[in-house]
Amino acid sequence: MSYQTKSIATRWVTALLAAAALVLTGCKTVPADTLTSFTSGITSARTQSQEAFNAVNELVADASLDYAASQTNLVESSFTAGLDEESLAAWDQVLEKLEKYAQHLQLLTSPDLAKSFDDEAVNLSAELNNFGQHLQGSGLINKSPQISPAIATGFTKLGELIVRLRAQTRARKVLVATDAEIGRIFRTMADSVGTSRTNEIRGTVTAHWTQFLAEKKVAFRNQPDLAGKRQIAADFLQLLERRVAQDLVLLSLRRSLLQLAELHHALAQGERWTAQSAAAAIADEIKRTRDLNDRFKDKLKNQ
Amino acid sequence: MNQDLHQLHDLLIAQHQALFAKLDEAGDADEGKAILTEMQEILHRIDVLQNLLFRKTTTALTNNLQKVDDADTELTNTLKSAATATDIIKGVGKFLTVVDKAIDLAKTLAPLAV
Repeated sequence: MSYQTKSIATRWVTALLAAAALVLTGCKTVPADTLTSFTSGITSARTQSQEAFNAVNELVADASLDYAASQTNLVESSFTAGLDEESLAAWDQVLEKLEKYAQHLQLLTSPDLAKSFDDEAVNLSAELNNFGQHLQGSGLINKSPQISPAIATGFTKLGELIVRLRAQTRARKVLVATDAEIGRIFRTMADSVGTSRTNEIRGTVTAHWTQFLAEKKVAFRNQPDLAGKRQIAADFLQLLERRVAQDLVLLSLRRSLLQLAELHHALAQGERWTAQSAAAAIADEIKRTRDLNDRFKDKLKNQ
Repeated sequence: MNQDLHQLHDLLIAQHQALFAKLDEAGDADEGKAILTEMQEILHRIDVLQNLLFRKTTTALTNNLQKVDDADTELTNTLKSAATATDIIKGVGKFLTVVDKAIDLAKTLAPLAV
């Protein structure tokens, strides 16, 4: 390739990157770090929910047996299901759907979205090259057409940027459209865990620990000797600690769910391109373009 | 209706806690046991209500997932359209392979035509 052609191609690719940077600078983008936190946060919330709710059900099952044993007749209504299997599955299904939604958002906004596009473009350039030589070998043309790696890089980069910009725009549109609903879902879930130790699941769990504490209080009153009283006091203290521990698990789940609502809102708001973020993005694009150019050079090295 | 259940649940928890506080004022062991039994009855109802409340919440959440489903479908379609751009290029490559074969065949048949 002549120096002049090479210079034109380089200028062409630079102009293309500058245009892309200009387009990006004028808009809001989906913040990648927040999106990663959002996706991993949902996965953690699923595990947290399963662990926290299993512990709740163990408490309820135990109390249910005590209650049934205290009744005159053994009847089915004495046994409560706690958080029943069907509802737990529905809860998990909600989080699973949100997790898939987050993963799709991540795929759509990933710089690797157009990687297969690049791969196929590089393969095609080699095939076009071979095809030209084939035509020449068959005597159908006098000279095989020349494909410049720089021009091929420029065109592929243009295609890649179109694919990625379109995906970013769609992702932002979806985030904005769903933000209110997703915020409502997470807040409903958080509220059903309980806003304090006296309501919802946190309230139920506190009541169970209070029942255990009450049993210790009665036993303490009936205990005649000091050693026995001391043992009951130690048990009482341990129950208090376990009550706090289980409430903290539920409180942590509630906070995770509220944080997920906030993270989604931050994603929907997007982040404005600062000079720094634009510079970092352009540096990344230049590196990707160089890599692409090297791959084209490698495929078209016999030119 | 749902709000009433929430209020009833809150009320039972408050009553359960009030009985717990009363234990310290119990005159004798029998009174203490009687309070404990009352507390157990209330706790059973707290559990029954909790089950109902959680079921209602998850049912409502599942019913309100339509918007998330629609959003996910849009995201999936956009991902597919990104793949379509790749497929077009792949298609050209495949086409060229077929043309190559056609040229080879034409070359093989050319001497026979003479």
